Amino acid sequence: MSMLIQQVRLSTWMKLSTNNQGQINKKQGTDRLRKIGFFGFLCSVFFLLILLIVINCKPSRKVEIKKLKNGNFQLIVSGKPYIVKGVCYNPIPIGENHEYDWWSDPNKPWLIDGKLMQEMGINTIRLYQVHDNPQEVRQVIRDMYELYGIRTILGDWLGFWEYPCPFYGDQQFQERITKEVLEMVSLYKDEPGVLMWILGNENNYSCLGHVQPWSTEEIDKEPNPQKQRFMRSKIYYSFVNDIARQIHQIDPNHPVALGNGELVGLDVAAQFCPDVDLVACIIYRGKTFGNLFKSLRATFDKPILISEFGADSYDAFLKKEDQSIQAFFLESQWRQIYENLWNNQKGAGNCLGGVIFEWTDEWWKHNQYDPQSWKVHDTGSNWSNGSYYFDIKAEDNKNMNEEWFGIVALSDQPENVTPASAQTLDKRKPRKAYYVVREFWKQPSLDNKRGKKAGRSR
Amino acid sequence: MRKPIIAGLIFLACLGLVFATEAKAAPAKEAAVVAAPGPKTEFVVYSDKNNKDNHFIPSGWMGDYGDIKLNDQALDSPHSGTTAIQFTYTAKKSQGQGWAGVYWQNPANNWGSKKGGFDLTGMTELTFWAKGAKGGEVIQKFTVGGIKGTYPDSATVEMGPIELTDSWKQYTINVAGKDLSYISSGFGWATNADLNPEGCVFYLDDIKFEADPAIKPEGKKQEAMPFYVFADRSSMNNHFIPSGWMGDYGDIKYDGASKEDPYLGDSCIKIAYNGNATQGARWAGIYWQQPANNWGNIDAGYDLSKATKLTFWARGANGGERIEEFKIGGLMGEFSDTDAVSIGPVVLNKEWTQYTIDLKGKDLSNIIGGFCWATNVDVNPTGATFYLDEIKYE
Amino acid sequence: MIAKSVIHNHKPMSRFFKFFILTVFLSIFSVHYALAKPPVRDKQKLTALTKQLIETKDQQKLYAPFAELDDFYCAEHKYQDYTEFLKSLANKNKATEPFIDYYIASCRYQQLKYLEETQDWDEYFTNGNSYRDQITSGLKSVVAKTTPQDPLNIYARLLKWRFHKDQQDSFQETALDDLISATRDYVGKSADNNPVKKVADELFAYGEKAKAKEIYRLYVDKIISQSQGDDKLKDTARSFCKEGNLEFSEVVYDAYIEKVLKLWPKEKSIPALIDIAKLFAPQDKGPSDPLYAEKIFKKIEELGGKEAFDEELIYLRSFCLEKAKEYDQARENYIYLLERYPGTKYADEANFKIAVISAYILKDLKTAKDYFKLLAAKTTFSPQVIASLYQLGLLSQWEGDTLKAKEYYNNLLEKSQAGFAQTRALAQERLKEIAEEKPIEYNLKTFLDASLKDESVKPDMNKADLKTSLYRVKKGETIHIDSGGYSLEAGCMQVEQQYLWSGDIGKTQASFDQAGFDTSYTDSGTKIINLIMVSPSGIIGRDICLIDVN
Repeated sequence: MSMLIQQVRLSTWMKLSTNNQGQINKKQGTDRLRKIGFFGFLCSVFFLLILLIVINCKPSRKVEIKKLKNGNFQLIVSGKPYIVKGVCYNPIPIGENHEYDWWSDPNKPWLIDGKLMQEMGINTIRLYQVHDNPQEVRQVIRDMYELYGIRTILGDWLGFWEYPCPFYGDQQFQERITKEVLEMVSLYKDEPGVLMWILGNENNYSCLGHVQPWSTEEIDKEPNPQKQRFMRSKIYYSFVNDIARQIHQIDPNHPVALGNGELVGLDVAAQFCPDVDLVACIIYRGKTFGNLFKSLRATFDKPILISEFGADSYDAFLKKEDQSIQAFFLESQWRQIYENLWNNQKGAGNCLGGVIFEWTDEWWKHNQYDPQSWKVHDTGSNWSNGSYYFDIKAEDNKNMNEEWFGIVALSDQPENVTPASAQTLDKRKPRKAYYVVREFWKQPSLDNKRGKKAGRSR
Repeated sequence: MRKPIIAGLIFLACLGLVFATEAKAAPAKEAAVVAAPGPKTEFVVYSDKNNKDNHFIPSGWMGDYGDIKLNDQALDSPHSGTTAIQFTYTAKKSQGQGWAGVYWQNPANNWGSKKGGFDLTGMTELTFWAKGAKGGEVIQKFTVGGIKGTYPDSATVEMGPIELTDSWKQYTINVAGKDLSYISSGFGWATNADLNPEGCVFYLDDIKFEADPAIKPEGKKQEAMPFYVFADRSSMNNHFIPSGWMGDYGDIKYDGASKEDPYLGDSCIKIAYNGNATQGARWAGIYWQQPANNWGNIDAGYDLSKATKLTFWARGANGGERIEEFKIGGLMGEFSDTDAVSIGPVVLNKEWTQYTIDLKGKDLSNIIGGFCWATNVDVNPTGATFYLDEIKYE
Repeated sequence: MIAKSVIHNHKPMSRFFKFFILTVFLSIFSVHYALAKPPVRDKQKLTALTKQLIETKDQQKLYAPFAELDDFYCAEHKYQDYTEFLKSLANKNKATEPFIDYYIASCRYQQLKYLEETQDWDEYFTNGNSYRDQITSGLKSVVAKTTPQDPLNIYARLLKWRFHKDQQDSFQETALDDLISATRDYVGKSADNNPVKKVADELFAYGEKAKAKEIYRLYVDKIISQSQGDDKLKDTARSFCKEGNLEFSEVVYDAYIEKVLKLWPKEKSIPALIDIAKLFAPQDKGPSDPLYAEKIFKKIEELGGKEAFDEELIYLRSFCLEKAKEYDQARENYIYLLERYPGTKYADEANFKIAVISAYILKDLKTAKDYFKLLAAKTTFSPQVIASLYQLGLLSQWEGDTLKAKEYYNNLLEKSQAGFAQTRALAQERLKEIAEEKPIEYNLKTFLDASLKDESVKPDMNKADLKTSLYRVKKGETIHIDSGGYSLEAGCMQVEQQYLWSGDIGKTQASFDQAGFDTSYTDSGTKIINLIMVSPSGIIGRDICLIDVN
């Protein structure tokens, strides 16, 4: 009986389908087309969505400076706010001078240093000038970035140390330097580890005639010395501006900084160097930067990176190492940097971070012409700075000990590595400042009166 | 029979217990007698001649000591008691200094070579009564402490200038919060001929330290504008002291009372720089400091936040003198100037010209280097003589 | 046969050899074991201490063993072992609880200091915060578990203050106030004075002089009130003196004199006072306070009059006053010495010093010359006699009487045949000046002008304060002369100051930029060193000092 019913149902269905075949087929076809169309629409939307997500998730390589609604400046790297916690890096071994080619050192000092830096919390190194072997430069940048997440600031001296002087007033000189800089940018702009470019260091002092003085015929004719300074500054800053513009054209992904000693001349830069993205200032004002940040706001309203600051670890008065005072000064300086970042309402909000001078001691600096002295950790000093008051009573007030600025000391004992060359790598011995700054970065406290943990010991 | 014996024994035992307890209590009582010494509420420097409470002796005469006469038992209307101290300053410049002063010392004539200081911890102010014979006498400063040497005073506090009236008035030097653990100069005064060209006679009485817990350490107040660095030689409104001689200080001659065609008033500053490189530096300059010789090692200075500019008038003796820098602030030490601003190089004219240092946006909350000039022999091969006047913050 | 010889060749290891190997093996093992384990003696000590700590119920008796334990571990910097050991003591004896808390805190405090000293920054920063927390929480617990009369309570507050002071943080002031008030409270309630002294010592070491003085006074008052009296006070004062802490020694001696010696009959008190004065009088070496010695001498004079002084004591008093630069009184006493003891062995020295003080300090040239002449007339030529001839010559030369000057100098050369080489050399220099009609050497002339001319007395020429490393020196012994350390306030800029040295400089040539110098003498006698300090503004200091060469 059931079989019969099933048969009837089947036959009925077949009948229906046969009878309405045409209609049903037609309807089915339209439906099918609709479904396909709808499905296709859904797929494309889905695909677009995925595409968008992928695009947004993929880290942007761009480094840019954002001006917030309240006028504060923020450095954005790969879409995230970035505080520059940097060190000036020049790993010259004991017994060598600045001409030493550390890039091709088979011991690869940056691998040891990078690890220590990472453990400290450093995220940036500053190189004053690139090496002439692009492969080696890239290797360093990549190793630092890929292994330790540390980015690199690349700089150019803009011919400052050329003999007899930098001829900033000369067109040909300018063109040559510009070419040099643009070459550097072209070579490294696509490296993910590059953070920014710094043009010059304390070149502005040459406009005052203090160091590496230069001039032009026109300037020499001008009797008023103040006007002379203005003319030099105008030439120099316009030149830097021009380079900055050209860099932006070939590399829109990295900011360009004007390297400047103190804030000297920035009133002129405000007029003739508007296209730089930030100023990178070299400041040695002792344990704090004074009114630096607010002053800059009033003079040349650009964000500031303190591209060189610090303290030496040698007490020239008591004639002994003093790691505690170096740590004290550095912590105080970092506190002020943090006070002026974008996120502190009470500060100037224009600081992007700092680059400590420097990573390791350089034993050649006190007497660069005497190779014997490069093997000795000289305690002599050639200049004086009263804001480093702890040893200003040194003989002749000479208290700035150039060979003792590292936050990592070098030992003539070798690092525990198998030397790849006859030369061993000097053992790195982090000083107290290394740890104090590390702890500060872990918990940056702007209130230095509240149970200070890492003060100067008795 | 037994009961009385037992009772007696019990009684004796109790007696013994009582005595034993008393004996134990005795040392405790003795110990309680030792009390901490009560805090002093005042420490007299001078109340009357030969008063046994007096401390310190006005033996430290300075500057034109020949211009000073002291009468420590002046009988004419003392503030209290029978005597007051009378000082006569003749302003004759007997020793060629142009100023004079007296330190009260312990022991007499102790310039820091002897251990004679008192521990005045707890005192919060030094009060004294003063009057001028006529009124209008100007004392440049009154001081507490300030002796240097092998046994230096633990603090230096100054107050002034004060223009006296012809009736007794009380003045206070706030010493709250200062380290008074060793003070060998309890009091002092100094003045100069510029402020008192005819000399002056004045009286002091009831000089004493007091401990008033209500007195709090003096904070810095914002100075009103205009705030003069130099107006005139005899102006009470002058601030900062041209004490910071730098570089070839032997090349500089400074005259703060030049009558050679001042811009305003009766005097101006004349500076003669001879460019001889006496100390081999080949440059020279002078910083106006507060207090004198403060290179950033003393926590002091003025709050000049209300100022928007510093103006001054300058001229060269011949015209063409080049001053590399005129500056305010910039002293760096443990207690640095909060900011620094400069102009220059400036080539001076023969006529008085006004110059301005723009201070907008600068942090002037603590300025110890009120003014500064510097130049060198390379730009002034034959030296430079120039004049300054009306240096003021406004 | 071959097999046999083979078997014979294969000798078994001798017993001796086996024994040797075993011995070597055992030695290596035991040396290693011995190095790894604390010596048996130390272990025994630790065991004994542990037993003592667990069994002692009286907290007062726990101080000593805990202190010993602390020393046991900390001397070897075994901080981790120490902390573990302390923790292991917990719950074994209730009485030790606050001690355990205290000593853990103290251990961590010492450990942090040790890490800083050895620059072991890794551990310092990795574990530093945790150690610091242990310090603060431990000390808080100690204060809660003890009473204000317990020494441990004071020690905990003291450690807390030291900890915050070292950190230079914002809690140091409240910690200091807390410590001072707790100590005051403690003094009133407890018999054991040692914590009070410890607090005072630490305050002094950290530079809190005013507060240290206050606590020392409480300490001293306590000793007196406890009638532990004479000896204890005297011993305390003496120990301060030995430590070089003269200031507090004086505080205690003052109390001793006031409360003890005053009650004694003068036959007993005067000798005691003399002993005290001698402690503070300038000796060959070591710190001294001649002003305090004079204060004691005054007391002696009050009690026993001038008769209480014998020859040696009068001389000592004069010497003290001279070294304290109370030249007026020194001269008075030297004169008194000569009056009372005309035949004194100090006669020449006294006469000479009277003359020098009269001339160069008191500007009393007449008296000076009288005394110099007195000496010059003597027939036995002591160093002072020879030096007097020189001085007479010098004064004459300065006054312009070159003939007289020459006479004196030649007389000197005649009388000083052997010895006195340095004085002879000076006389010869002066003669040369006279012969060549040159003025007296510049430095010396400046000194003489500044000291002897009427109008040159300036109250502010007082920045020089000559000091010598020794008051009396042997021939050939090096002595350091210092101008007093004054330097013009110039902060960054070093202002030029010149030092015009003259007089008996000895073997050295001191140049004008030397603020101090070392020298030695080949002749005995009383040497006079003169100094004029000059700055760009003129003469700012003038001083003289006397050195006796034996």
